[in-house]
Amino acid sequence: MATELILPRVDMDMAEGKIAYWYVKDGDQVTKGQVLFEIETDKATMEVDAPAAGIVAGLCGEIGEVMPVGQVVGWILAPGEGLPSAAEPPVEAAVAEGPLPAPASVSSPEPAPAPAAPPVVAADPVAAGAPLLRATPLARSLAREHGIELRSLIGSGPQGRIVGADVPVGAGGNRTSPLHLHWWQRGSGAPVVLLHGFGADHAGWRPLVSLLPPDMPLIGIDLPNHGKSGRLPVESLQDLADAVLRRLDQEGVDRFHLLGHSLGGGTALAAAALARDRVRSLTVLAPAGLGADIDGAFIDGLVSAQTESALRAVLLRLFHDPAVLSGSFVATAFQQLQAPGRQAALAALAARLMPAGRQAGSAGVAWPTLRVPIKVVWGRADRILPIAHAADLPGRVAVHLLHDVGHLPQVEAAGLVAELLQQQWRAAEAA
Amino acid sequence: MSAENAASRELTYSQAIQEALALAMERDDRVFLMGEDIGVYGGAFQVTGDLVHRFGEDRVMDTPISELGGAGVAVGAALLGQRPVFEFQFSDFAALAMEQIVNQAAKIRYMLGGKASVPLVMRFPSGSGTGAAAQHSQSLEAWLAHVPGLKVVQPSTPHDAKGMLLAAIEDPDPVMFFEHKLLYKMKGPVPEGYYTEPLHEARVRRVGDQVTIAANSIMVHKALDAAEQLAAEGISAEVIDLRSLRPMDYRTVIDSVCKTTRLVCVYEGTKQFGIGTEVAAAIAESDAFDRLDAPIVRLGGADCPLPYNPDLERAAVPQVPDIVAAVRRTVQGGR
Amino acid sequence: MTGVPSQEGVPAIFRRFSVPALHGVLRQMHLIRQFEEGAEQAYMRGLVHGTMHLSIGQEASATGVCAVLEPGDYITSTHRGHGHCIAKGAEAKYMFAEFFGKDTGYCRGRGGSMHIADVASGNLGANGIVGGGMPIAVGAALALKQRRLPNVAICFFGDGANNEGAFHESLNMAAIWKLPVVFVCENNQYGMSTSTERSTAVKRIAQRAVAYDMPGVTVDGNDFACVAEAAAEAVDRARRGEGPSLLECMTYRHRGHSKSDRNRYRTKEEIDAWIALDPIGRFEQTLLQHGLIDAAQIEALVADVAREIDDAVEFARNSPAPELSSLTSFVYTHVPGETAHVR
Repeated sequence: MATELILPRVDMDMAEGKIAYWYVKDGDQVTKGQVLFEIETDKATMEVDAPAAGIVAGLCGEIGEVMPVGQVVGWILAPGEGLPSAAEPPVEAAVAEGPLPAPASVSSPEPAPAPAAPPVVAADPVAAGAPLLRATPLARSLAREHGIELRSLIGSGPQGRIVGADVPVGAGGNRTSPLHLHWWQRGSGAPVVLLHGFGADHAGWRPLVSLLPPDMPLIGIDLPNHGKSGRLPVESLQDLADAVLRRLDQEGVDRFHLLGHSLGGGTALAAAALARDRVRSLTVLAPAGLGADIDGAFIDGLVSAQTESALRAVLLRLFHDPAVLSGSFVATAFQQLQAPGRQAALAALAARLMPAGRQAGSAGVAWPTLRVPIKVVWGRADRILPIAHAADLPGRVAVHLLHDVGHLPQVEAAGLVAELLQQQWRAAEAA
Repeated sequence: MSAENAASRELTYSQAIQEALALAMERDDRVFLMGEDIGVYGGAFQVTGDLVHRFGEDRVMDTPISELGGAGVAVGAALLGQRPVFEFQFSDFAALAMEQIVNQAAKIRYMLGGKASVPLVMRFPSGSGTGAAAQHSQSLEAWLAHVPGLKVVQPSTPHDAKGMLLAAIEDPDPVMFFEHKLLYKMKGPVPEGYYTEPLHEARVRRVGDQVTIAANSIMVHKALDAAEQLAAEGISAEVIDLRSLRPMDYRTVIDSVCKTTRLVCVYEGTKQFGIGTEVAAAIAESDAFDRLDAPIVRLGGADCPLPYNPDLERAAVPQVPDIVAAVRRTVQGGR
Repeated sequence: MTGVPSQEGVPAIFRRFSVPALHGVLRQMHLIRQFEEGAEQAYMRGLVHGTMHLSIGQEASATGVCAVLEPGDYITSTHRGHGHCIAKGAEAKYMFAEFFGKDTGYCRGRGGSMHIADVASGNLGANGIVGGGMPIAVGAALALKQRRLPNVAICFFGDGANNEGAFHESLNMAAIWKLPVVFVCENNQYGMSTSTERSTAVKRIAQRAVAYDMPGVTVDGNDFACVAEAAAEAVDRARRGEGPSLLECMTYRHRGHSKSDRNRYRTKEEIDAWIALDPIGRFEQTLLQHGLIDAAQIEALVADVAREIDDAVEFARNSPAPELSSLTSFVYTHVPGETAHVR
């Protein structure tokens, strides 16, 4: 059976380390206990031994690259074994020396499905051909009891193991929505439901919320696999919309306004189409689902960033003015991405909704026919989703194109967005 | 007989045992003590103290250094209805007496079709931490817990030491009573008067809901310390004091794991084939299996004889930081 | 009871016994002999599981010691203990039932040949461990002394046991505490296959008594009178509170150690020579010689024993086996609480 090589923890408080030296390369035969590589931590340099005898393969730890403890850096195979297909090294990983040799009966690894999205912590159990589905007994029994397919779930446990929390059942064991919902403000009238974008969560709306009148009821919902929400299988914007609507049903919210950004925007458009009678107004900022284009490199960078500095470089793409990106924004975003299994879950979602730099989801054509106030707001300097997607919208839809604003109008033009939202809300409530 | 209404005062673990022995001997003429140096010397760990002056040499008998013979004498006396309490000076010396403990005391009742019983108690000072090294520091309760026909208990507090010893002396079957040397000076509330604690019930020492720590003897206290530290990190651990190894109260552990979904076993005896091994296997076999949300973890003694050097000695058995790290890993889903 | 009147040549010890009592001893010896032969037959017929250790040829030491005991006295025995059990009053039918593994056996089918016991009648049991019963006998004697009872414990053991640590620890403790225990060694000159000559540093086991400061005496173990006399002296001494003694009975087992023994370690000549010294024949001769029994009585007695044996075997064959559901019964006196954890 293939033995994983990981970056081991060698000190009591070690969270990350780097490989300082490789003693072996792919194809080398090693004995158990033979030194494979040296790792460097804050405190010391240590040799790491082979946990088993066999043939080294799939080495993918770059020298000097800071990695979290537990990251897979290669494999030891028995003769005749192939690499587990969910763990191929990314094409550009620097292996110590030489090409990937193919000892007589070892099959050569297949090319990675999403070229720049190496699985970091968890292996995706849904990936084609993955033989081992890791799930705890608790997860298995919950899934069995509620008729949920284990393979549709994404595991947040070590090695991609599906744990109890990954199975969408409520505390009472009922099949309730696992989505987290937060009331910022309560008041009379239909509440505004704010839906965040990919990789974010409801808390990111806080700065905008502080600009809104205190009597406007406001709800934030974390999309599936984001924030504090549980995991759900998601294949389309409609799946996201469906989950949001079920959560609102559970909360007893019948009529509502929608404000969505990016992925949340696409979700809002799909939700409006599904719940025509309940939506009072619809406001979307740089929404997904209106075209195929998307900055794939941004998505890939987000799901694979391992350091704050790497993430910062990615996040800069969101803004027109780089000075707007604060250290605390980066730090918060980074910390959220470090939640166990988070990046893997996001990568899996991206693989479904925006694979290989193209949007697979569509908001459909029904939403513009709603007889409620509809606004689409877009920054002209948006590098993630192009404003061209707003070019051919029907006349009923009010389109606001903003100068000197990137992909986050709610940050770079917060005041205007707040003003527009209030217009939407008052207009609909007055009607 | 309950201790709920009796006045309580602070006694050390060893004082609690002495009090139990005295109460038992006062109450029942058949009870007598045997062991090396338990008379005027007061016992190697000063547990028997001045009992010889209160009860005489006929009831507090110094034996020659003859563990095998002495254990057998206890068996013979018990067969005739006496109630001997045999003190081994160190639990390690049980090895010399295994013939009489395992082949005779444990099996006589069964081999005789239930027509006889061996109501003896054997006391074993055990455990490491005193620098006594390999032959005087072992935790061998797993050896004896493996044998049908014996009862094996391990109280962790002065209160339990007194109550469980009195119950053990009353018990009609052979009871192996394990005491940890480092617990002898531990103080705790002990009710006055005669009371017994059941020999087959574990106790939940700390309620929690994210992970169950099942421990025995001194490890219960280490687990409680660890749980306190973990609480500050937001991890809620439930600590179970097994108290009795044979018969073991599996139900308490099963119910706990069904609630918490995670189990860490902490024990001083060698990890392999040890007490925690039994608990882990029993849980995996039980209805708690479907509730397990993380692999079961065993923290046991290192795979070597107990070393002399104090740092090595400490490293050879689980300590509080080891328990904290293991529990944290289990709850947070580490490797 | 009036003992046998003293007469020229009659062993002095006979005075302790009435004539019917002496007949009882002979009957017991025949019972042991026929019991052993019956057990052997049953074994060869496949009715007995495991193996057995026969004491054919050692009847005098068992009966000679037990004849001087009171009902409240105790014995511990060895793996070759059928004779001791019968001499202490065990009934053949319950012994056969035990050999056949039946629920009516002395140990409810759980002990077998090596563990026959009847604690209620003072038999603390045969023992499968060489030397296992020795400290137990000392413990029984301790309990008797603690209870201030005038009874004694007899510790039967074989020559093999005298090299076990338990032998030395037991004699030492019995001596320092002056306990009412008599150590009776049936020296049949072979452990399993190793002769005492090759295994034991002293020529006579009784020599070891001096190391533990107690009287030690060697007697002809195939002569009922010799054994009974020495036993009486030791038992009386113990009852008086003067402490333990060591009694060595020189004897011989006609059969091998167990049923798998091929007798490779001794010669046919040696075996035949000892068979000629058969204790039963010699006792009969002594009784006949002094007019204490006649041939017809012997014949009647032997026939009666034969009937008893036949009835015992029949009883055992017809007895029920233990229920499988009772497999783990009798391990403990009582098991509190729930211990089952199977799903």
